[in-house]
Order: sequence, then C-alpha cells, then structure tokens
Amino acid sequence: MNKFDDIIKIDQFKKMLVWGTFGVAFFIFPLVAPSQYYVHIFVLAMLYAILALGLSVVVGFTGLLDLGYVAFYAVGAYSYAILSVWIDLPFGIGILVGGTLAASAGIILGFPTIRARGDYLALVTLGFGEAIRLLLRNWDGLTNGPRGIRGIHRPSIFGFVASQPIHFYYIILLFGIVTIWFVHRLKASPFGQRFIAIRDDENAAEAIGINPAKMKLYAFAIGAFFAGVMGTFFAGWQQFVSPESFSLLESIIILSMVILGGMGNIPGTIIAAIFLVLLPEFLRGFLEYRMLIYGIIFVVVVIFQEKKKTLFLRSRKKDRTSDSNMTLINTFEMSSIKASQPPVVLRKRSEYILLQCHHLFKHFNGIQAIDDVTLELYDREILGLIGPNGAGKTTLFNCMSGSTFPESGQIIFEKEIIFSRHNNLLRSDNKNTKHIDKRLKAYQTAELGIARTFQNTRLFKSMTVHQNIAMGFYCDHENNFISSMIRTQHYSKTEQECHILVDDLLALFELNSIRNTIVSNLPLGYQRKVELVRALATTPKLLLLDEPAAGLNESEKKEFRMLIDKVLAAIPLSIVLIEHDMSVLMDVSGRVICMNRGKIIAQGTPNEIRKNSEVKIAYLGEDEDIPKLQGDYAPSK
Amino acid sequence: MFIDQLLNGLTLGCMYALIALGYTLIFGIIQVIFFAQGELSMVSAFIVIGISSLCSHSRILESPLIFLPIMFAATFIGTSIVGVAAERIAIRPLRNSTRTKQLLTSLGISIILQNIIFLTVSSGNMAFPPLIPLKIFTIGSFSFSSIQMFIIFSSLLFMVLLDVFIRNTRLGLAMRATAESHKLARLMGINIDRTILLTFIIGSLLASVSGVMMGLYDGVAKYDMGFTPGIKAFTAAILGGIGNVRGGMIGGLLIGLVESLGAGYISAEYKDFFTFIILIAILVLKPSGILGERISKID
Repeated sequence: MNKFDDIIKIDQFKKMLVWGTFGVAFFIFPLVAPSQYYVHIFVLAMLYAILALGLSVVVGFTGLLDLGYVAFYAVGAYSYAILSVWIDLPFGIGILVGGTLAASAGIILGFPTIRARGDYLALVTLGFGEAIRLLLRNWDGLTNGPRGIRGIHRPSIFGFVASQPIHFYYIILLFGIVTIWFVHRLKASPFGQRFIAIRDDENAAEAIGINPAKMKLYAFAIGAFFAGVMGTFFAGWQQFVSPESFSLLESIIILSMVILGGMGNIPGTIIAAIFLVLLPEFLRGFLEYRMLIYGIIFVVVVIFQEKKKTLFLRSRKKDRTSDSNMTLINTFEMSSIKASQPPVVLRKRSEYILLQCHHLFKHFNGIQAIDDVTLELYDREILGLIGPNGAGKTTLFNCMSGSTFPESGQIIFEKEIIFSRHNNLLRSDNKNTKHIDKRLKAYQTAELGIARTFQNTRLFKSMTVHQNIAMGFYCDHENNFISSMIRTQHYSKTEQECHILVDDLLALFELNSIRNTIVSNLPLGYQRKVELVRALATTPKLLLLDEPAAGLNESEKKEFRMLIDKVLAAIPLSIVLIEHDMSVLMDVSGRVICMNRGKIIAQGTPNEIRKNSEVKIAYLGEDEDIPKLQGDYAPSK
Repeated sequence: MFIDQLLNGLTLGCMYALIALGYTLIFGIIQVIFFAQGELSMVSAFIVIGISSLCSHSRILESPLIFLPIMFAATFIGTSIVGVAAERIAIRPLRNSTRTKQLLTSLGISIILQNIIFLTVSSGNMAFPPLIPLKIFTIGSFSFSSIQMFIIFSSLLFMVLLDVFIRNTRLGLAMRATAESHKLARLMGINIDRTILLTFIIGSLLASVSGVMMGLYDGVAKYDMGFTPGIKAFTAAILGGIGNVRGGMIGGLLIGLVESLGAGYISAEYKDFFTFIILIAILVLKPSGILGERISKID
C-alpha cells in the first residue's frame, strides 16, 4: 500500500513541477514576446483551449458527440454584444450573464434530446447549431443580421479599460487557470467519474444508481457555460460579432482539438488547441489546407485511438500493475468467516417479505415474455430462477431492477411500490385502495437497494478495478456537484469512508493484487468477480445475478460458489440467481422457481424441483431424455 | 403559384429522397449515419463537369444519346470508387466501435472531400453543363421545365428499381438479412463485407444520380453544394423512419414540399431554418419516423 502511495506522491510532485513550469512560462510570455502579434495569437490559442476543455467535458468525459457547440459560444457572444450596446452592461456581469444564458440554452436543448441515441444527439446538436446561426443571420431586429454588431464595449475593471493584447492575455490566462483547475477537479471527483462511467457503459451506470439523463444534462450545461463565458470574452475582445464567427466550421475546429488531445485528456487538449492555432502562423499557406487537415484529424486520430495508439499523451490513467506488486498477492484469507458459517442451503430464511411481484405481464412483439407472474421473495433468501432460454427470466430481472417496465402489475420492494400499473386482476384484488401508476427507473431501484449483474458482463472498461468498485459505493453516498467541486467536509468524509469500504471489499474478495488494473485487461472470471463486488459496494438488500457462472470453467465455478458463501457471510442480503448450471444453482439456492414461456410452472425446494414432472418436460429433462421445448417457441436472446 | 411551388417541391423532394435512400440503406445495414452521402453527390457533379470539359472539343457532345450513357456510367463508377474507399478507410476499421465514432470519421470524410474539391478544382461556383436542353412547357397558367420532368421521372424510376432490387433479388435478400443481424447472416453464408460494400455502391449510385440532378437544377456546382442537401436528406430519412426504404422516399418528398411551400408562403430566408427545426423536432419527438424504423435490435 505504501508503495502505491509513494508512486502517487512522486507522480503528483512531477505533475506539479510540469504544471508550475508551464504556468510560469505562460505568465512571463507576453513580457518577452517579440511582438504584440504573438501575444494576440496566444490569446486566440487560449480562447480555443478553454472552448476545447469545455467541449471535452461533453465529448471526452461523457461521450456525447456535440456538433453544435459553437451555438453556445454564439449565445454568450451575442448576449454580451446586445446588452453592452443597449444598456452598457459591465463586462464582469456580462461574463456571468453569458455563461448562465449559454448553460440554460444547453439545458433547454438537452432536456428533450438527452434521451436520443448518441448519434441522433450529434445530429440534433448540429441542427441546433445551424438553426442558431441562421437565426442570427436573419433576425435583423435583434442581431443586425449578417452585418453583425459593432461598438461593443471593451472589458473594464474598476475603471481600468483593457485595450492592449497584453491585457487580454492576462484576462484569458486567468480564465484558463480557472478552467483547468475546474475541469481537473471535476475529472478527479467521484462526480466527474460518473460522466466517464456513463460513457463506458450507460446501463451499468444506471444499475448502480447513476441517473444518466441528469448527468448528461450536467455535462451539457457545464460545457455550454464555458462556451458562453468565452463567447462573452470574444465579444469584448473583438468589439464586433457577426454570424460568420459561429459557423459549423468553428464547431469542427474545436471538436478536432478535443479529438487530437485524446478525448478528455486535459493537457492533451490544451496542447492540441495551441498547436492547431499556431500551426498556420508557422506554416505559410497552411490556412487554405487547414480544413482538410481537420478532416484528416477526424478520420486518422479516431481510428488511431481506436487501435490504442493515442497520438499525444496517453488518455487514460497508467496501468500500474506492471510496475507494482503483482507478486504481492494478498494472502489474507477470510477463512475465519468461512469456517464459522453453516453451508448456504441450511441458512434459515426470515419470514419477512423483501420483494413481491403481483401479476406481471410483459410482451415483445407478440411474444409473451412474462405472463402473469406473481412471486414473493423473503429476506435473506437465495432464490434460484431456472427455465429454458427465452422463458422470461432476464426480462423478469429487468422488470425488478427497473431497466424495463411490465405492461401491468405491481412490484413492491420493502413496502415501497417500485412499479405499479392498472391491471384488471390487480383491481379485483384490492378494490378499496386508490390505484396510482408508478414506475421507478433502474437508478432509483439501485438507490433503494436492488443491485444486479448482467448476463454479458458490463464494467466501466476504461477504469481500474478500484475505480469500478468505488463507483458502486458512490450510489449510496451522493455528493452533489458543488460539494464535489469545493470539497466540503461531507465530501472528504465520504471519500474516506469510500476508501475504507473499497479496501475492505478488495481484501475480502482477494482483489488487492489487481486493484489498479484496467478492467478490460482482466480475464472473464475476474471481470465477473469485479462486477459482483461493484454491485455489493452499493450496499444492496437484494442482489440479482444473471447467469454469473456462464462461461466459467470448473475451478472458476467452484470459486464462484465460495464467493457466494463469502458474500452471504459478510453482508446480509437476498439473492435471486439465474443460472443454467444446475449443480451450482441447486447447491446454492434455498428455493427454486422454474419459468417457461413467461409463466411460473413450479416452485419449491431444489429437491422438489428436481422431481417435478413439468420442470422435467420443460427444462431439466428425464435422466435419459433430451429436454424438449414446447410448441413453436423459438428461443431468443 | 401553388402548383408551381408544388412542382418545385416535388423536384427538390426527389433529389433529397435519392440521398435519403443512401443514408437509410447504409444505416439499415451498419446502423451508422454515413455523413458523407451529400458530399458523394457533390463529387459526382464535379465528375460530370470534368468529363464534359474533357470532351468539350470532341464531337461526342453533339450526340447526347451516346454521350449521356457514357457520362452517367463514368460518374457512377467514379462516385462508387470514392464511396467504397470512404467505407474502407473510415468505417470498416471502426466496425466494432461506437456509432458515434463512425459518425465522426464519416464527418471527417465529408470535410476531406469538400476540401479536396475546394483546393484542387475551384472555390467558387462552376457552370454545370446543360446535359438536357432546357425547354419550358406551359399548360394553362402554370409552367414546368424539361429538367424538372427529367428529375422527377428518372428519380422515380430509380426508386422503383431500388425497391424491386431490395425486395426481389438474392442480393437484396442478403442485404435485408445483414440488416437484421450480421452474425446470423454470416452463419447463413452471406459475405458480410461484400454486402456492406454493395450497400455503399448502391448508396453511391443514388448519390451520383442526385448529384447530376442538383447540378442540372441549379446550373452550377460548388464544393459545399452537398452539405445542406445532405442534412436535409438526413432529415428526410429520419422523418420516414431511418432504415426504412419506402419511408426514405416519402420523407424526401415531404421535406422537399415543406421547403418549397415554406419558402413560397412563409419566408425564403428562413427555409433552411425550418428544416433544421423539423430535424430537431423529429429526432426529439418521434425518432422512429412516420413509417417506423427498420433496424435490427441493438445488442
């Protein structure tokens, strides 16, 4: 552990040194610059760097492709231009107004569109950007049309009016430092990590309690805010705005900086922005070719990055496994817990009902995936769910966790209704109660304490094992945007708690040796384990495991069974388990439900299920018989 | 006035529909918005300009019956080469990546194509050769031109041919199967790469036809002439339900009509603005379009 800390400290020191050197260099640059022109160019370069950093929160962190970023820049610029000319708005207030208006525009655009699929969102933003530009061109009364607005006031602070390039240089340097600090802190905070979690796997993020729509809206608003502030600066700097400054071209330029910089890498983005602004200054005649070069950047860099060759700096955190203690395998065994616990099957379940499903129905295009399912789950019970492929098991899971909704029925978790919709059967059951439709989404059920794993393992693939598990923890201990940014006491406390809990979990499940490995480099068995531990980190009351042993070999399966024992020993919870490996399932479960064609056809103890004739026909088969599927039912994925 | 606008809208709509079909076919098969579809039209218009300036001194121009087929074939082949190259360079290496990244690279291709023409051919308007003699027919109070008739009838012909091809041929069946599921289609012995390539070739064919039409209609060609029609055609594809071939045709016609009637009766300056607003509105309110999407379920 100390070894890690030392490495991190040395790293931090190095980083500070590099940033400090750059800071000083930037600070003295205008004093030693050969001419005012260079200062001017650097103001432009930093303007683009800040825009690119703002966009990298949207594109790089959250993975939303925004092709209309320049629209927010335009909102900032025109808001200051108009207010400055009309009512002499001071620059300082103009900055806030511009930023706020742009962020509001981001939220207004984002609110209805954020649910659109990724590539559709790109087109919506493109359309928005073009629509704003056309509006600026044609709305003569407000924007003076294509002629633009002249005579915008220069920024002034306490009577001091900025007029020389050097003044603007220091103003934008200040903005730059604030932006870098902000984006850096955002990326390091658990709040910012959620953006990355959504980019890596939206479903998984939702399953551990992250609200994707809210986070995307945040990303949109943060990105737009920076664009708005820079737009205001641009208007004050140039004293002139016209629609031509806000064409699609500008969005493409900023986007290519984000791409070239490594999609969310902060130093990379800054270097790329400065590089792309300075290039035409050093290569005469480059100006003509620059669009061509931006186009080539789009194609080449994206493909290169896909092939794991980032051009600039590496965009992800270092994989420290190689230079640390792969050999230092944690031998800390939880043998004490293991020995003291009775075998799983013998555990007494409590009579407290944790989850109830009443008359659930769900169909997909004529296939009845769930057909009047009613079941109850007791506290601290392990319920096995079996049935042929396409029996509706995973759909039932999805309904319980809120990733899909049934057509009708009711699901109650710990006396809280998590889903409810009118249904004739239901109404006849309780006529007196007033019926209210309700549906909790996946992130809400996760907050209540329903955790799940996925049939095809879903991890945040760009994060380390430690980060993945820590993401699970944050679901319960939400720090909002502001407390994450100013690091309140509550924030530091939860951070500490999180580290303790994650360390405990890592130790308990013997993952310490791989804690800093990027999860996509792990073998499947480990990935399953990490996914399970991440689910546990949300401190669930109910754990839904979807085919956790599929694709594991015999020894891994054995390990998995021990893992379940460990889980139950450490944390009091109920488990619903879907599994096709009968030896695993029958061993672990206290009660088994068999589904076929959306209906529950049998339930009972493992032994009763083994002997049940209907189950034999539908799924298990006779000892010397091949299991038969009923009717024309086509198993589907 | 109304009928004139209607006819205008129909002509525009036919051109949009052809590009929209390219979007829809390619989206149907690889679920990627191949952004450079509009630029392929632009490339084809410039190929026509190139060929006719090469032949400007030969006598072949005087016999349009020989010249036109040769020219169409050359345009089609040239555009297809560009389209297929774009697929190879920008789309295929990212086949297992996110759709957003593929959209990004195809946007890159579209910028590259524009700028190659911008830098090597011309940065301004170039005269498009009058391949068809312009004649104005007047019936009663309204009039129409030979070019409009040519555009409407030939694009309708291409749409019918495409529909027949997709529904009634083995290759069309292969395309539909690939659109449903790459995995299953491959298991049935369909060569996925070749089917995708074929789709891009058909997309390029449609783009080249619409490029020639746009050149004829405007009388000029410019390096960025494909961009806005490309976005409008994309709007049309979404409107009809992307991945849905008949939807693409109807969507194209609708967008053309909205544009020309909007320009005629509301405001000419705001006509593009309306298209973008429609784009945003459809994507937000009804992203599956009016006829519904025909795409295989993801994941």
